[in-house]
Amino acid sequence: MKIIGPDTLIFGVDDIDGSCRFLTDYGLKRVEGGSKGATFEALDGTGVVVRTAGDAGLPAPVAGAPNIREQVYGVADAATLAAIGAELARDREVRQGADGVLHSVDDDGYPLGFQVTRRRPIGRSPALGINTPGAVPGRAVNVAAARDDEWPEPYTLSHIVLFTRDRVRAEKFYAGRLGFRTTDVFTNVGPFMRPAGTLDHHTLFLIETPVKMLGIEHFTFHLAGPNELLKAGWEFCRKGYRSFWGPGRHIFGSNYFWYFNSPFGGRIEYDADMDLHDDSWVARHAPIGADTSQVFLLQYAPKWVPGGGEH
Amino acid sequence: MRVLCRLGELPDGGARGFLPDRRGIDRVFAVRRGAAVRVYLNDCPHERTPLDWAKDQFLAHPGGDIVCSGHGARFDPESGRCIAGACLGQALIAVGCRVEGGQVLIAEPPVGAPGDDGAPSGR
Repeated sequence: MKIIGPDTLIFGVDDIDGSCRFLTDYGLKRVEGGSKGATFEALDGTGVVVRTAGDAGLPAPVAGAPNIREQVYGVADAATLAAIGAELARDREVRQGADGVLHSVDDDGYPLGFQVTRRRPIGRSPALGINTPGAVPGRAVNVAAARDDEWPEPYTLSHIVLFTRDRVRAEKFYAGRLGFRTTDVFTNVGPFMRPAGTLDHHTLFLIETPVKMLGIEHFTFHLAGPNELLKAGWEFCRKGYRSFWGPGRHIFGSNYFWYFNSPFGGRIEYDADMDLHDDSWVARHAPIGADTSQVFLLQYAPKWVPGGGEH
Repeated sequence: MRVLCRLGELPDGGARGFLPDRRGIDRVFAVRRGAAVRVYLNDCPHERTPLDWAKDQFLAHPGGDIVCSGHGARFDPESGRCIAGACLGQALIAVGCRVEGGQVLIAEPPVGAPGDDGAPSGR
């Protein structure tokens, strides 16, 4: 079942203007919008839809607003879409919208959508490479890499993290019904999972919690690399947004991370440089802790220069 | 007691952060409804981290509940009690305050205020 990953996350919020300003400052492009909401895209067309929490067109929420209202997965082709529809219709309602999107729910009641992916090629040259001693230079001679006027843009929707009532049941649903693979497991929390249509370490991470916490834990977009992540996060801090955790580097997935508070009912992250895995990968198991969740952790600081005027 | 601000500097139905640490995170915030003002530590009981997602962004909407932007926990502005979400039944830590002569006064120092090392106080 070639599910590629989330194409679009739809949120119901209290504060349309604040939420839209937040996503613009995060780096996403607003492609449509008005008083009832807006749509934002990363470079490949994946993105976020913001709507008022009371919007009658949204699926029923699993948690009070603001929160996630639907995850729309992109799939490889119409055959995959048909297979998903047939599989889910065995034990739950599946309906197809006029736009061709299949709608259903997972075992926690989170609304799921499926569509033939609307991702487009990223269409820009790769970020400047790194010069490593002894290796082929990552960029041409006389190219100066450091630019203060660089504004890193999110490339593609990376992953979503959801609270679940029952991690065993939730993993069984995504693996057994939708063909996800478990790549690693925090034994006291839940699994990292990737659908069969991507090699990314995870597009979904599940965290078992009491029912009062059901909802989104965080969501994130991939940036070009660690340098772009640091610059994007630093600029986000400078705009007054609240850093929560990072910058740092995770161990499971190896992705660089930087988390911020958000008006969406869970946090938002910038991530970069995630590991890729195929079906030969054997999941690692570890309890979550400060040492198992990161290689290192740094913190934002305003600009400063040494010297004190003496030199 | 110390002066936090003039009452007129708090929008009616709004919230505002005060006493920033070195990273600019406000250590306390005030919520106003009419003449009533409540002041709380900017410290969610769930993870002991700041509630706001940007400067002064503590409320669902003007006149609405206090919402933590970590995981969306909601708090009653008047009592500080969590009414939905991760820390249901727990409460924000209130800072003693009173309005006098058009000024908002708070206890000094705020008891249990998160430190200004920039780290979440619970970590």
